[in-house]
Amino acid sequence: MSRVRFLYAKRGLSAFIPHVELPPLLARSARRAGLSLLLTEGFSPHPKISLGPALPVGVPALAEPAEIWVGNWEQRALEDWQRGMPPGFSLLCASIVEGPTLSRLCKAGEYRVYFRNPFPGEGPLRLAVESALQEPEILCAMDFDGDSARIVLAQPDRFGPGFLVKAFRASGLVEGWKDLLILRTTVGGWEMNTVKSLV
Amino acid sequence: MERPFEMNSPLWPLLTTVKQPARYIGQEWGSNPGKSGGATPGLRVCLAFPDVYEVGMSFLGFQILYALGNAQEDTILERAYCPWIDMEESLRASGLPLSSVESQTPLNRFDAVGFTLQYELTATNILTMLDLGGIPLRSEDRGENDPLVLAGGPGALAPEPLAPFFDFFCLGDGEELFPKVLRVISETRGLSREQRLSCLGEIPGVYVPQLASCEFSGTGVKIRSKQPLPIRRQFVRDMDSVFVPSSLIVPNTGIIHDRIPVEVFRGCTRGCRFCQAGMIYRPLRERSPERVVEIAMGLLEKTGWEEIGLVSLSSCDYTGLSPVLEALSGQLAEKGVKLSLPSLRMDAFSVELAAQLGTVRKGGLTFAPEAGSQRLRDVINKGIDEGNIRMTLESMSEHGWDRVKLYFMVGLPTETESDLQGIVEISKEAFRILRKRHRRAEVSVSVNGFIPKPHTPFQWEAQLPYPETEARCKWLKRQLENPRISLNYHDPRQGFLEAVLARGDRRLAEVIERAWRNGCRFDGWTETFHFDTWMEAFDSEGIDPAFFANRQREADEDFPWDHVDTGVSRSFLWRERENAFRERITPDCRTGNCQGCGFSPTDCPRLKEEKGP
Repeated sequence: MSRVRFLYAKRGLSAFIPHVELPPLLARSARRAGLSLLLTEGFSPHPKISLGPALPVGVPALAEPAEIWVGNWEQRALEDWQRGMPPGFSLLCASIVEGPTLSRLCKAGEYRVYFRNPFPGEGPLRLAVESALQEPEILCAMDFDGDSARIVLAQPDRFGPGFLVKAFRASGLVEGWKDLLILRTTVGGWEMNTVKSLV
Repeated sequence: MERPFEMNSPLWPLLTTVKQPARYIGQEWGSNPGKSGGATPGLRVCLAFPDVYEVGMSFLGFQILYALGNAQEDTILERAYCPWIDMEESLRASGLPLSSVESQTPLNRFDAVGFTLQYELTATNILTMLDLGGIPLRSEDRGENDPLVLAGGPGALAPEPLAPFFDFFCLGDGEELFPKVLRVISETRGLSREQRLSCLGEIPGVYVPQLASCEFSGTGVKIRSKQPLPIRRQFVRDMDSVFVPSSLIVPNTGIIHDRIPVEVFRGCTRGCRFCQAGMIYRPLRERSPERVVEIAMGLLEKTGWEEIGLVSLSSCDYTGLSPVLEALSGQLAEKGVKLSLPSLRMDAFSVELAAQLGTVRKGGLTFAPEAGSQRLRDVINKGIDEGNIRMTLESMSEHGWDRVKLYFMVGLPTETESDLQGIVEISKEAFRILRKRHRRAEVSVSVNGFIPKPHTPFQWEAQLPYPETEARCKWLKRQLENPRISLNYHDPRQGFLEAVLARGDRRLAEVIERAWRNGCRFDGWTETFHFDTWMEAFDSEGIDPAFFANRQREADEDFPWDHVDTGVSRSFLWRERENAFRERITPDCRTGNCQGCGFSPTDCPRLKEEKGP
């Protein structure tokens, strides 16, 4: 039995599929590819899959980590699995792993924020995030590229897109989710001022 | 930095503000197999389900039609579902049309839009979908560039209340009708709408309401048409050779029936006299066990679903059940795939079966005794007795289940207080039996008001006025004081409206449109049902709804569904009605003699078998 860690992208309208629906979606696609999945023990056994920190609906992701326990993993399995994935999902890479759980390894998430209305400006955005944080060390990085912001937040299970929207709304920069698009570009370890991929 | 393509989606901001946005996105594995990126198709058809996604995606019929349509050359099928109220408001506020989930094409850009009529209380949702899709509500107002709007499903067999909104109805099994309909739609492009409808009307089983006129006299209605009447329902003869999808659309989110549906038979000959499905889907046509296993294993491999449901109107009656279970259970257990039967008969065999299948214990088991006394169960031809009920409950308790859900109806013809008392007694007895072995025993009783449906032996009967149905439900609730026996009943006003819309004629279209214009939506849902708005609509149109629901009809009254021939004869239905009032049981023709319900030996496999080659 192999514990396989993989990265996947979730793009387009598929970003609206709730996080909680991803284990059955991944399991079904894996079965379509002929993978034999380890089932959990207990009354209602289900395939053993663990996901990275939850993303709210409407947030596309470029490289999300997840793990699945497979009985017949082979080199070409990722390719076969990709053919069984629904539109909007891409499997990027995979490797067999051991060691700490995924949740313990996910230290930071990197986001890119785009505004539908005119860009509010670097100052107001930085102020909005900083004033919403009681623990300043949560904000690992924030920089700007044209009319988008790159923001890296620690503790991705607690601080993510929901926190950012709340912060921008509190500062009057947006009314809500409809005014912006947040992309999670990556989530993983935090080393040397970069988010380190887990695969 | 380049902005992500998601910023260009006009739907995106709307999806961030509505409940359950995944309902509107499509993106499922298996949608439009092999068609994406192909040449521009000749014919584009949208299957429209007049309820939310999770209900519509549970409907096997659309899975079949979708695959069947897409298998035709130069034809592409897509789907649309009714937007929930918040999404409807958002679409209207932003000026966006209702579009298909596959390619986001507005409904009015399709060649045809096909609805299924599974439930009377989706009538207003049909209007929402047409209106948001940019299609004029009424057939007579549609122009040459508007899609043809069609409907199928059980509601199409009593279509008059919705007749003005549809260009044509397809009566019967889609596998028989749909390819012919698609061909004619394709071949008649370029002709006038009138000519096209006339050509469609030549297909056996297609009813074009615009070619018909209604003459109301007294309480009845005579329907005359340029088409030869009655229109005969079309049905599949052989379940082994009929088209079956080689794959299915697999949803990305939880749906109501989240499993691979494999039909084991179509039709039912148990003969429950209240049951419309048991009459309109005859004759009984079984699929061979070998074919069931082949379909199940094929779909399992293709879809990756974790559960297979053996579906039919009463799967415990399937004669091939043992070989199917024998062939499947080993292979499925190995893969961790569950097997389920959607409905259980009240006998020890069914409980054994449920135990064998490992039916989820915490959910308990569900049964439908339907009536509280033996006398009334004989009236409705339910075919179970006190002994069956007791034995079923004992057996499930022995197998470890501590919870049971029991379905009953109130307001059945000839019902008296002692029949209602019978419901109370069965519920208490169920609790007593489960409690003997289980400290946490629970009984939940679900009560529905009886609806006399068209094409059944009770089509002549009056529905109990809804205040009386409610009074009986409340009385039942008062009798069950034990907190571990709960009783819930459906809003009798919804049952009343369902009866009106099921039994009505073409005049009701005015009421439906008015109710919709006044805000009625999702009338089958408790939280969105506005009874007063409906009553105002009836009032404004000068129509008394009780005329349709609560009136005992004469033996020879002309019904607004008489122009539809389901295959079951009116004389058989009347005979069954008489048997009901004599409390006389009619045996299932699978085990007894042919009851002469109306089919010829060439159409009925059972009769063919009896008569020999």
